Amino acid sequence: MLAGLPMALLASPAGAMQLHGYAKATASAQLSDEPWVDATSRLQADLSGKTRGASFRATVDLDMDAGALDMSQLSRRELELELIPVECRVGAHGSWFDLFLGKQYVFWGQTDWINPTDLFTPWDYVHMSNELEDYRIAPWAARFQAFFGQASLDLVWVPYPVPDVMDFSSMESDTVHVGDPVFTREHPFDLGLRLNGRFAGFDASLVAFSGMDKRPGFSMEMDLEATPPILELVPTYGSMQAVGGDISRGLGPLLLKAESAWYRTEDLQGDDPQVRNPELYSVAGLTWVPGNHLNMSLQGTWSHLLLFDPQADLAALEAMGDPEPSADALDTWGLVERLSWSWRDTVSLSAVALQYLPDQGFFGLGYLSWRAADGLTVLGGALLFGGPRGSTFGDISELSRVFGEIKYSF
Amino acid sequence: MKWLTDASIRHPRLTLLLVLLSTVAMALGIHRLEVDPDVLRDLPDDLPAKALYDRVGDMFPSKEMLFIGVRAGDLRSPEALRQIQQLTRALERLPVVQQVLSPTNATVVVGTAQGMEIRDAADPFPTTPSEAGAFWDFLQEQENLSGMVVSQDGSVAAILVFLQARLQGTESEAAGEVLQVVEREGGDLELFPAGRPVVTYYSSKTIGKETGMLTSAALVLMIVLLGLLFFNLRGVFLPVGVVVGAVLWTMGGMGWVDLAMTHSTEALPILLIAIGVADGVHIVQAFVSRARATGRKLESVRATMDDLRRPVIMTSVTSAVGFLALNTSGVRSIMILGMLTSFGIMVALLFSLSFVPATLCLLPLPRSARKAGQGSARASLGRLQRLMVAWGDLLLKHRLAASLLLLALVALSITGATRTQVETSILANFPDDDPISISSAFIDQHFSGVTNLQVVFEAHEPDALKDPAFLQGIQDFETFARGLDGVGGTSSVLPMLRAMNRVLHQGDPAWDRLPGEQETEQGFDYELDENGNELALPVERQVSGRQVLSGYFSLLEMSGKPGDLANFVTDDYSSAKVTLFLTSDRKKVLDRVVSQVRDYLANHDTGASVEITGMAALMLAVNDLITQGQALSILVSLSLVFLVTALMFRSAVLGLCNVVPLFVALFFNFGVMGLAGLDINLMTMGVSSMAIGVGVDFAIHFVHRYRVAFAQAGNPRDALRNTMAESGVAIIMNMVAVAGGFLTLLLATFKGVVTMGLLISLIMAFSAIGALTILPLVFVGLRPRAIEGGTGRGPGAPGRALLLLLALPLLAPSPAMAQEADGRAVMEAIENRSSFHDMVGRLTLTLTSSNGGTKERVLKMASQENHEGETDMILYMESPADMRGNAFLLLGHADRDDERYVYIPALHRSNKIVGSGRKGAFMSSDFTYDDIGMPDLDEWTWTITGEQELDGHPCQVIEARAASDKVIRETGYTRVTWYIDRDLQTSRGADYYDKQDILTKKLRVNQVREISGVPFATDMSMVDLGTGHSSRMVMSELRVNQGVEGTWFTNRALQNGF
Repeated sequence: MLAGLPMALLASPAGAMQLHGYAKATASAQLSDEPWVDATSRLQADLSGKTRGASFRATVDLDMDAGALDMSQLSRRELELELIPVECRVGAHGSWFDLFLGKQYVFWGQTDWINPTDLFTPWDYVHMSNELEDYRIAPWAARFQAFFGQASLDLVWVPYPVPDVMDFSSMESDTVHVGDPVFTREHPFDLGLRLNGRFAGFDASLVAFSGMDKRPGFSMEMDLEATPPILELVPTYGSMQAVGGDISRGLGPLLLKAESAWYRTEDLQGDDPQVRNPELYSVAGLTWVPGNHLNMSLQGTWSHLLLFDPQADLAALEAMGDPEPSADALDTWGLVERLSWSWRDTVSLSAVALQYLPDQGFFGLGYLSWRAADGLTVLGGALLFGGPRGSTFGDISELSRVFGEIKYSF
Repeated sequence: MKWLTDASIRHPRLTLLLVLLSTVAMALGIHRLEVDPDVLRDLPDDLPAKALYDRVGDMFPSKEMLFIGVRAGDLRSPEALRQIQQLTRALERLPVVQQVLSPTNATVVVGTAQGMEIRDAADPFPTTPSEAGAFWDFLQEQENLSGMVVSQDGSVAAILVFLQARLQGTESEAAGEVLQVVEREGGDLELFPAGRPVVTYYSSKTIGKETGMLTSAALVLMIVLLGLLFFNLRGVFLPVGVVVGAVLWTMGGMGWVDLAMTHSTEALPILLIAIGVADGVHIVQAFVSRARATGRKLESVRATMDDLRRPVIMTSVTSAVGFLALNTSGVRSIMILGMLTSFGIMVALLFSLSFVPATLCLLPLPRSARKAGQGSARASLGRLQRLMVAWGDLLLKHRLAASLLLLALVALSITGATRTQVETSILANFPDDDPISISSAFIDQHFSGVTNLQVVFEAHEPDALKDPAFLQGIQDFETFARGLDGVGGTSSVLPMLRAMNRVLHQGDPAWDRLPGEQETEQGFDYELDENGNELALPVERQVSGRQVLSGYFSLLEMSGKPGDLANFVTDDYSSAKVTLFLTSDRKKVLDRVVSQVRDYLANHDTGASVEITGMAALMLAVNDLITQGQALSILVSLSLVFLVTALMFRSAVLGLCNVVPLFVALFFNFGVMGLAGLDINLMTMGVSSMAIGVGVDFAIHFVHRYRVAFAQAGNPRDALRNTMAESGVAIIMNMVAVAGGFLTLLLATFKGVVTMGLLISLIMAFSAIGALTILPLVFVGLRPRAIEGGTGRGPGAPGRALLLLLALPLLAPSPAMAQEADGRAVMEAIENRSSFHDMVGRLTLTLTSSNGGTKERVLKMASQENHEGETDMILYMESPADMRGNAFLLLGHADRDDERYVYIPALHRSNKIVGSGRKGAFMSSDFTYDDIGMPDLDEWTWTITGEQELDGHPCQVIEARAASDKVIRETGYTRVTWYIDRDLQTSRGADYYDKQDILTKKLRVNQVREISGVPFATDMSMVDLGTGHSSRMVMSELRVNQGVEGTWFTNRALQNGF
C-alpha cells in the first residue's frame, strides 16, 4: 500500500505529495561519576500524500549513532546505522469519517505530559529526548474516527501492543536478577473508544479501554539453591480495562484541565503483590497565559490504589522470600510544572518538571532554543532524573544528561 | 434556546439521533399506561359533596348499584326462575358485590297462623308453571318489590346488584366483573345491564377506543391536508413529527410516572395535535419562502430559525402558561390535563427548535427553490398568499363594516353563550341504539328508574328510628318524593315495617301504616274460672309505638338477611336512607328534583339533619365545581396570557392584542354551542381550553410578524399585506389542516366525541378569524404605538411645524456633535462596505527585525462569520519548514471567551489553548488580533478632526478614543487615529497610541483591491516604533463571499488540513 499509493498519487491530478523532514546532530553528556558522551545524527524523512478520499504518511528516522566516546582515549565505537520507522499509515476519508491503518501515534487526553486516558502509545523512558519519536512509540493500529460537527467518536484497535520501554538494569544486583518480560495474555490486543465533544465552552471526552497494561508488575521467584539466594524479578504485563474522561475550559487567560481514569487490572481482589492494583489516576491543573510570550502550566496528579491492603502485600512478599519486602503507597501525589517563554519566534525557553511528592523523585526536561534562521535551530538543554534512592526517578538518576542540538528542517 | 437551534443546525444527524433515542425511551412508558375513568378519584377530598358521599358510604355498606333487567321467553316458567336464581347466586359470590336483590332472594313478610314469617320470596321454590305464576303475582303485590324486582305489569324482572361501598379497584372495574358473570351465567335470559357503574364501564371502553381511532384518522387526514397545502413532504413530515413526538413524550411520561388516563386526559392527544402543529407549519412555510428567494439551504434554515425562534418560544411558553392555569379548576384530572398539556407543548417547542431545523438541514432544497418560479406548489401557495392579501385589503377598505359585523357576531355569540347548558349525563352521549342506551331505557320504562338519589336522615342519637314520629316524618317525605315528576319510585325500610304491621294485624289494610305513638293492642288476659278452666279474656292494651317498632326491627334483624336492613338503616338505628329512583339522569331533571326535595326539607322539620347524596348528587356537585373552576381557570389563563405576552412584547397594548382574539374565539365557541343546543360537559370543557392554546399561537405569530413588517415597510398597508402573505397563510394552513382533520370525529358513535370534533374545528376556525380579522382592524384602526413606535400617531402637520420652530434652537447641533456623528457615520459606511461573510486566501507575513533581518511565514487561512455573528478562523502554516503543518483554529463566541486550538505536527495532537486576549500578537507579528479586524464601533468615540494626505492619498482623519478603561485594558490603546481615503472610502492607515497616549505603532495600507464587491486591504504594514520591528501582511489568492465549508472550522481540519 505504501508503495502503491504514492505512485497512484503521483499519477493522479487531484493528488498532492510532499516530502519534508529534518536533519539534526545531537550530543549529550551524562551527569554522573562516569560521564559519557553520546553523539547522534539523525535524518528524518516524512513523505505524505493526499487525494480526495485517501492519504498516506511515512516517517522514517535514519539514525547514525556514534555511541559513547571514551574521552580519555578519544576513541569511538563503530558507527551504527539504524533505520527506525516512526510512522507509516494510510488513510481513507469520507465526509464524516477518517480511517487510518498502520503505524501511527494515538494520543488521547487533554492534560499536559501526564494523561491517564492515553493508553495506546507506550513510553520509551530509555531513549528519551526532546523529540516525540524518541520517548513515544507509535503502535500499529487501526483507527476509525467519526465526526459529527464538533463531536467525534474515536475507535482504535491495536492488534500487537508493546509495553513501555524501561531500563530495569538499575534493579539488578548480585541478589536480584531481572528476567525477560512475560505477557499474561497469549494474544494481547488493545481496543478503545473515545467520545469527544464541545459544548458551552467545554471540551470533554469519555474513554473506554481494554488491553495491555503497559506498566509492568513484577512476579518474583526466589532461587534458594543459589548462593546467595537470588530473587528473580520478571516484568509481567497483564491486561487492563480503563474507563475515564477529560474536560477542559478556557476562562480568559486561564485554561482549566482535568483528566481521570479508573484502571481495572488483573488483581481483582487486590491481594496479589505481583500484579498492579486497580487504580484511580487523576490529573488536574491550569495553564496561564499572562502575555504574548509566556505560557505556564501547573498540574497536580493523584494516584489512588484500589482494593489495596499493604499488610497483605507485605505478608505475601515475605512468604515468597523477598528479602526486603516493601509495599506501594496507597496514594501517590505529584506535580507537573511547565513553562515556555518565547521572544519573537527567535529565542524560546521550554521546561517541564514532574515530581512525585511521596518519594521526592523528580524528572525535568528543559531547553533553550535559538532560531538562527527559518528552519535552522540551535538548542541546548538538560534532562534530569533525581530523588532519593528507591524513588521512581532516583533509581535512574545516572541517566541525567545535558545535550546540545543543531537542527535543520526542510 | 438559541444554542439549541444552533447546535441542531451544526449537528443535524446527532440531533436526530438523540431525538429518536429519547423519544423511543419515553414512548416505552406507553405500555404502562392505564385507564381510570373514575371521576371520584379526581375530586378534592375537601369537597363537601364528596366528603358526604364517603361518609354515607361508611354508614351504609353500599353506595352504588347496578340494574340488570331480565326478559325471558316465558318469565312465568320455573325454568326462567331457576336461571334467575342461578344468576343471583353467581352474583352473590362476587367479592365486589355487597348484596343482590332479585326476585328469587327478595325478603318478604307473610302472615302465618302463628303470626308472621320473614322469608325469601321464592321459598319454597316454584316448580310448576302455576306455582311460578302465583309467585310472580305475589311479588307484584309487595309494595317494596313491585317496580324494583318485578315490573308493575309483571312482564319483566330485574336484579339489583349493590356494590361494596369500599372497593379495592374502581367502580368501573367492579361493574366489569359483574358484567362478566352476567354474560357467563345469563343462560337464555335476555339481560339489560344498566346503572351508572355500567355506563362508566362502557364509556371508558368506548370513548377511549373511539377517540383513539378517530384521532388517528384525524391525524391521517391532517397529513393529507398538509400535503395538499404544502405540496411537499417536509410540510407534512415536520409538523406531524413534532406533534407525534410531543404526544409520545407526554403519554409515555404519564406511563413512566404511573399517571392513569382519565376522562379528562383522554383529550390530551387531541389538544397536543391541535396546538403542537402550528409552529412546525410556520417554520416550514417560512423556510420554503426563504429557500425560494435565496436558493441556499443552510442560510435559509438559519435565517428562518433566527426569525421565528422568538415567536415560537413565545407561543409555546404562553400556551403552556395558559394551560397551567387549569390548576385552578379544583378537579384533579383537569389540573393534570393542564400540566400535561403544558409539558407536551414544551416538548413540541423542543422538537420545533431541534428536530425541525436539523431535518431541514439534511433534506435537500425544496424542488421549487431549485427550480425557480415553477411547480404547482408555488402556484398554489401564491394563490393562497394572494387570497390572504386580498382579505387584508378588503378589511382595510371596509374597516367600519367589518368592525360592525364583528361586533354583531360577538353580540349574537353572547346571546348564544347564555343559552349553553351544562350536562352531566354520560348516558346522553351514547347513541340511542347503543346497548347501554337500550338497557337504560328498558329499566326506566319498566321499573322505577336507573338513576338514584339518596336522602339520608340523621338523628344523631341511637334508636332514633324507633321513634314513630321520626319515622312518620320520613314516611311523609317518601310520599312527597314519589309524587315528584321524574321520580319513578322510592326505596326504604318503611314498606317492610308497614308490611309487618299489616301482617301482624291479620292483613287488615287499616294497619298498612307505621305504628303511631301509642298503639292499642288487642290481647288476652287469662283467668281461671270456678271450674279451674283457663279463660281468655280479650283486653286492650296501650303499647308505645317505639316498643312496637323495636320489636319489628328485632324481628327483621333475626329473620331477614343482613343486607335487608343494612342498606336502609344504620346499626344503631340513628340514621335512615331513602333512595329516590329517577327516570332520567339529565341535569335538568336532577336539578329540579334536588331543588324540590330541598324546598320540602326546608319547610318540614323531620327532627333530623337531612342530606342528599348519591352519585347523581355528586355529579351535580362535580359539575358545579368544573363549571366554576373552568370559568376561573379560563379567566386566569387569559390573565396569564396577557401578562406573559405583555412582558414578551414589552407592551401592555400588545398583550391585550394577543388576548382579544382569544376572547372572541371563546365567545364564538360558546355562542355556537348555545345556539346549536350543544351541551357543555366534561369532555367539551377540556376542549374549550384549547381555544387558549391555539388562539394565542395565531395571535402571537401575527403580532410578531406585523411588527417586523411594519418596521420594514413603515406603513400599515404594506405591513398588513406582508403579514397576511406570511403569517396569514401559515395560520390558514394550520387551521385548515387541523380543523379538517378533526372533522373525522363527526363520524363517531359517541355523541360526546362528535361534539368534541365539531368544537375543535370551530375553535380552530374562530381563532383564525379572531387573529386574521380583529388584529388587522386593531392595528390599522388604532395604530398602536407599540407597533409603530415613535412614528405612530403624533401631532398633525401644523403641530409638527410649531414644534420644530420652537425646538429649533434646541435641535441645532453643535459642531462637535455633528462631527462625532459624522465620524461614526463614516466608519459605519466603511464597515458596511467592507463586511464580508467568509473568505479564503493565502497570507504571507514578513517579519523584519530592527536590524533588518527578515523571516517569512506563509499561511493558508479561512474565516467565516458564524451563527453568533462572530468570526471563526483557521490558519494553516505552509512555511517555514519547521513550522509547516502548525495549525491554529479560532472559534468566536458572542457570549463567552473565544475558543482556540493549536495543532503541532511534531506532537501529533491538537490542544486547546488560551490566548492573551485581543492584544495578543498575531503569529508573532506586530499586528495584534484586534488590529487585523474591523474595530467595534461601540467601543470608541469617533470624531472627524480634519483632512490630511497620506502616501499621496487625500484622507479624512478620524480620531477614535477608547470609550472605557476596559477597552484600553483589552486593546492596549488609548486612541487610534484613522486615515480614511476619501475616494475609496476605506482605511489607508492608522496610528496607535498606547496607555500613556504615546504613539506606539503605525499601520499603513499599501494596497486595496475590490474582491467580490468588498474592498480588501491586501497589503498592510505595521511598524512598532518602540522596538523598530515591522511586519508586513500580504493577502493573495483571495476568495470572498464564495462560501466555505463548515467542516473547515473543526479540530479535524486542524489535523488533516483544509
